[in-house]
Amino acid sequence: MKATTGHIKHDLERARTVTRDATARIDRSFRALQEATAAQRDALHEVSQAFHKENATAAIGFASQSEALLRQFVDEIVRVSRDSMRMIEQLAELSGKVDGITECADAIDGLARETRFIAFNARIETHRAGDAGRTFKVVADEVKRLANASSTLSNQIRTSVSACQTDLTSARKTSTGLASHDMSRAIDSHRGLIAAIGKLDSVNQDLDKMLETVATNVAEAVRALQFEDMVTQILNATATRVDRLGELAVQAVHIVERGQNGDRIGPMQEVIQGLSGLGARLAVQHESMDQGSVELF
Amino acid sequence: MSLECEKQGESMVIKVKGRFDFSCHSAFREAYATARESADFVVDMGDASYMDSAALGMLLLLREHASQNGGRVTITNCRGQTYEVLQIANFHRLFKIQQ
Repeated sequence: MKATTGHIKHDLERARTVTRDATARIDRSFRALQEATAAQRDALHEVSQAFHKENATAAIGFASQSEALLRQFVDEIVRVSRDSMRMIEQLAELSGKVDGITECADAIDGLARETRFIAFNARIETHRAGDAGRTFKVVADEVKRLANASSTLSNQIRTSVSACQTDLTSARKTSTGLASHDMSRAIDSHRGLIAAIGKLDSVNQDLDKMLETVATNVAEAVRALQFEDMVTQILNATATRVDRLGELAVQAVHIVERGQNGDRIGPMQEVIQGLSGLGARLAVQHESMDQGSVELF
Repeated sequence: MSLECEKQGESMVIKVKGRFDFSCHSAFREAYATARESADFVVDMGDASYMDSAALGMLLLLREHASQNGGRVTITNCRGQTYEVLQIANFHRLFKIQQ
């Protein structure tokens, strides 16, 4: 009987050793995994911090900065367009005023024509006056010369005005070029940036979630490894029960060997009581890992 | 492009058709500069197929003109490319924009 209980205890001891060794190994690898996950998280955090420190900013920051830059660029285009359109209006007004100068030159031409006509009439009168009109003829020729000079001047004005209008047309073309920009590229860039920011955001969130999941799972695994405690408790309890079973068996054998006249009923009842008490006394409190931490009994 | 102007109540409605770009400049300016009795303006973009930055510049000049007379500018029936251009230019800050 002793030999039998001894074998059982030996087997239990072996089971305990194997469980302990396996648990220790699993525990070591899970702890290493946990440390590695933590290190990975720290490394990622450091990378993101480094981006911030070097002002390259994290990818999201960079994309947001680009968006702000694009907005600034668009604001600038709009501002230049508004100013150019205003300039075009001013150029149109200026062009109108320059046309006014041409009208003045036309008026000067008209005056010169009339003056020439007067000079012509005066010259005829000097012929009729004969010698008496000779000096007046000089005056009439001078008036004609002044009228011609006025015509030359008005022609010069007209040439200058024409050159001015050419320059105004060129300025108008330049302003038109400054004012007119196709906004499609800005819209496309803006769309691209918004998409990139959204994508980066989601990648970041996924990464956070992933790290969180790994950390939770590793922690759960480490917690689950406490099963070794539970198994040890069960094995210890079983060993104690085997011991007690052995004792009761020896007791029963003695009662049987004590002879035929002896009162066997009383002692045998004690043994039976002992056997029935055995199960209750050695009950394990927690039957599964779901019940949280294992309590010693 | 072409422009149609119509007085509706206290507002002058300027309806833009086709491409709203530099080619509208003279007609657009005339439309608001001659509307002396209206302080408020509505630019109807329902039939506008496209707008560039010159159109944005013209809208800003109209806004300046209206605010000098205590009026406001509303841009209505914006959709597609014209709505996106107004959005990227942040014109929501300056105009009442209706889709």
